[in-house]
Amino acid sequence: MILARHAEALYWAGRQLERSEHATRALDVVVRNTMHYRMPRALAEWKLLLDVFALSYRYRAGGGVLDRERVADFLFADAANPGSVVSSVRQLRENIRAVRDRVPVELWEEANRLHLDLAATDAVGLLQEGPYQLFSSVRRGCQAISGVVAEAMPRDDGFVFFDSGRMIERSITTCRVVQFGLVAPARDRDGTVGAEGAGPAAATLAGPAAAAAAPGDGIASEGAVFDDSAVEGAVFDHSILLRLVTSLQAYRRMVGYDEDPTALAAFLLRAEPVPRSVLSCLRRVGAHLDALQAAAPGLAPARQICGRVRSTLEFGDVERSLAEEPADYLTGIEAGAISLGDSIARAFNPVHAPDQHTQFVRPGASGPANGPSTGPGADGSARPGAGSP
Amino acid sequence: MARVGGLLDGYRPGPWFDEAFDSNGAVRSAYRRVADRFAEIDGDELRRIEQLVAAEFRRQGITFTVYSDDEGTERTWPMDLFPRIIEAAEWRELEAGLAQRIAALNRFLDDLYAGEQAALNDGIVPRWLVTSSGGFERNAFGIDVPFGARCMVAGIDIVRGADGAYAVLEDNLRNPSGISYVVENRTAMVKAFPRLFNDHTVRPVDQYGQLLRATLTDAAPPAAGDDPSIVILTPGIHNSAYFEHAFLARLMGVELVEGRDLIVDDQVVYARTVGGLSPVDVIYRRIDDAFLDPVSFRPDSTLGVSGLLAAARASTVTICNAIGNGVADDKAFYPYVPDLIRYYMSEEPRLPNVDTYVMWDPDQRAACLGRLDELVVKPVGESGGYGIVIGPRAGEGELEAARRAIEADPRGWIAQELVGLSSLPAQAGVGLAPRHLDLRPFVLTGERTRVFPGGLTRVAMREGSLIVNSSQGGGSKDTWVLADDGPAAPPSAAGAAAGAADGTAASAGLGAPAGVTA
Repeated sequence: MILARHAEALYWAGRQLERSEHATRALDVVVRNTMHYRMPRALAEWKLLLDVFALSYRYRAGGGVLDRERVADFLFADAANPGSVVSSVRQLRENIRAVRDRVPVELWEEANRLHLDLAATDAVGLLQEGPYQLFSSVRRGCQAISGVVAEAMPRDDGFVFFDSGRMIERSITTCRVVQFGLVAPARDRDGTVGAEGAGPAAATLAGPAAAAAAPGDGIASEGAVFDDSAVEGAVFDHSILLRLVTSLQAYRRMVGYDEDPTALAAFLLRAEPVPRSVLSCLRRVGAHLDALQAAAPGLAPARQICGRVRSTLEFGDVERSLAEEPADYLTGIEAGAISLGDSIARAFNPVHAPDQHTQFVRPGASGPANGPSTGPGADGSARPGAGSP
Repeated sequence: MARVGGLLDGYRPGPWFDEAFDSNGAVRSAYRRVADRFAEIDGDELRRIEQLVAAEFRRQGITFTVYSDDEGTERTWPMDLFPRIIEAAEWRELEAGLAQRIAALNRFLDDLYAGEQAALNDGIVPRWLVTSSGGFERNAFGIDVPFGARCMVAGIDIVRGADGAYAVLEDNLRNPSGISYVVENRTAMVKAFPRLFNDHTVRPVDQYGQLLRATLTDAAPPAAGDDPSIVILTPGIHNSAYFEHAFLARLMGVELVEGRDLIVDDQVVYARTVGGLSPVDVIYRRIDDAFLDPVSFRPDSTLGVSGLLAAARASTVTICNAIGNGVADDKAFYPYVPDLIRYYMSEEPRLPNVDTYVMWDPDQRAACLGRLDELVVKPVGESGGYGIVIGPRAGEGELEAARRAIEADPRGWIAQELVGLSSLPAQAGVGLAPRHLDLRPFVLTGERTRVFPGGLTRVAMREGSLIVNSSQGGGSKDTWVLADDGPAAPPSAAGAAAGAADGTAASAGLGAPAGVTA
């Protein structure tokens, strides 16, 4: 059975790989997309990106001026932001380094190469000059790692934890993309908060019309003090949103041009053939946990949580829940995925364990809560790894 | 007289022994093909290959950590491209000498900690010298080690004086490191100069993992059965030799653990796995004695495992190397090793020591203090080249400081005659120039003693420097032990044509394993 410390390092490496790749892709999509927008609309999109990665709080704490370049730097190149791409890649490399004796040599080499290449790059300059090559090289680096994992990594305990970490990070991210990209607070529809009488849950899935009627027009401008009211309620254009989770083509082929936000949300939550859907992710985690059931009884609670969240997607009336109380529903799914991660993390500290994890800060141990989520990802980082005290 | 050219034009060995050239400047026969190969390429080509090798090392993360650098940076492992060659007959002599020495040292250690202390009782080594050693460990009493192999993995530093004779400079019986670089240097050389391996029959170095695993398996407590659970205990990723620890774990297919991964319950060592606690039978530890068990040693150690020694004493786990070995690689103990070989093995030592003077002896001390500027002065407990004063190179202030240190603590110092150290061509600026080197072969001991072919050749990269430690800016060389059948047949015409592609280095991939045979 795998050492708890190794399982932990691999679990977080999986999360960090997913975050590195996802954040890079999201930046790529948004950078390209916002080229076509006027400023307020563009800023709204950047703000939503911060929300999707649960980094609004940290960004605001750093000074609060909403500015395209600063957000891009913050999300990609800021070494002080544990959720930035540069930080995630560094932590990924450190965590793989901590298990380099037990993973394929190529996995370590690719992670090391990605980190070294990125460290040798003037990311801040490239973000302004021509970020596409930068994004493309990071994505290719991540995909090389994925390739090695897929083709060279034995399907042992280590793989289980690596892939589980990855799937949990992915399910949380997909959830947040739907949550922040599709759900518009009710006041943006009728101008009155809680007009539908349901308190904070009074939100609806926003259709393309809401996206077109970009909020805050004429209010927010570049360099403005960070002000939620300026951009609140903005939603992503559906095709952008699908591209954020690399599912645009799949949606076109499987669903078509249905612009109904409920159909889109349901697709991202439970489309089985789509590897980014929440259900696909949870199925994979569930299979991993089933495989370890006998050897690692400490994972039983995680298996239960996984099954519970899965079954709401598999057997629940997803469309109705999305139509009736989308914010609550999505928050609940996300919270389920987060507590699944927490529960797996508890197995890293098995019986007899003196509480001396200095190198691995456990999720939830630090970082402010942000939005509805607590626990991993709440401070926007796919968790600091070894070597990032 | 063999003619060389190119990079070796103008190569002038000094008044010491050069491994590749004789005193007339002629290439020694073992090096002829290597010299020819280096004569074919120019400085730019050599630098290009060098950069490819360095980039490959960097990408693979083949690094070591230098603590004095700001906060321990990872440094890419430095390898010089001109290999060292040891002919078969020469190696057989070395091998026999090393096996003899390690066998005697193991006999001594086991006799000291688990036997009758015969060597002390018979006055071969002064008892006070042993008990006053920083490496002497009372906690080692009562811990039995299978086959008495207290030093399972030894690294012996060998030098070659002006007459070309090999001599032992230092014994490392605790945690000698460097074997991973031996293996990686070979991998890199095969990529950089594939054709050279077709021209020579070089003994391979890739079986180290298998040998070490077999040795550790044999050392398991009897109750562990045929397939004991073996772990390597590392201080963690910030340790200078972490690369090597991970390398060995991967090579052997065993877990690499840190102290916090282990726990002792009722005198049994367990690893903390996701499935719960899993028993451990053999620990190849790469942590110093002092940090191994906070119950018995330094209480502030967070690297160790509480209760580990109790488990070892109960023989539920084997710790490799055994604790307390430092007593026998204390430099003040070193002068007694030849006598111990005579005493335990009833043989004459096959490998001599370097002439050494112990400063606790008033006569020797007085003689040495009078000519410190001719001697090398070393603290007895240090390793890694720290604290050494080389008389002829030292300033008056440095010598005075050494003199005061010796007078203040005579037991803590030795003096040695300066050994010229042999040289080999090494990259220096645009060409190749003589640089001094030593050799650290590795010796494994289980039921019997096995000397691993070759070892780590360390080379001083600065002109005239005698300090080869990598922590002090030294480099390394691939070390070839030739198999018994001597140099292979001359390359065929096809082989020569293929040589055009030789030196295209890293792009050649694992080009030439076929030429590497035992």
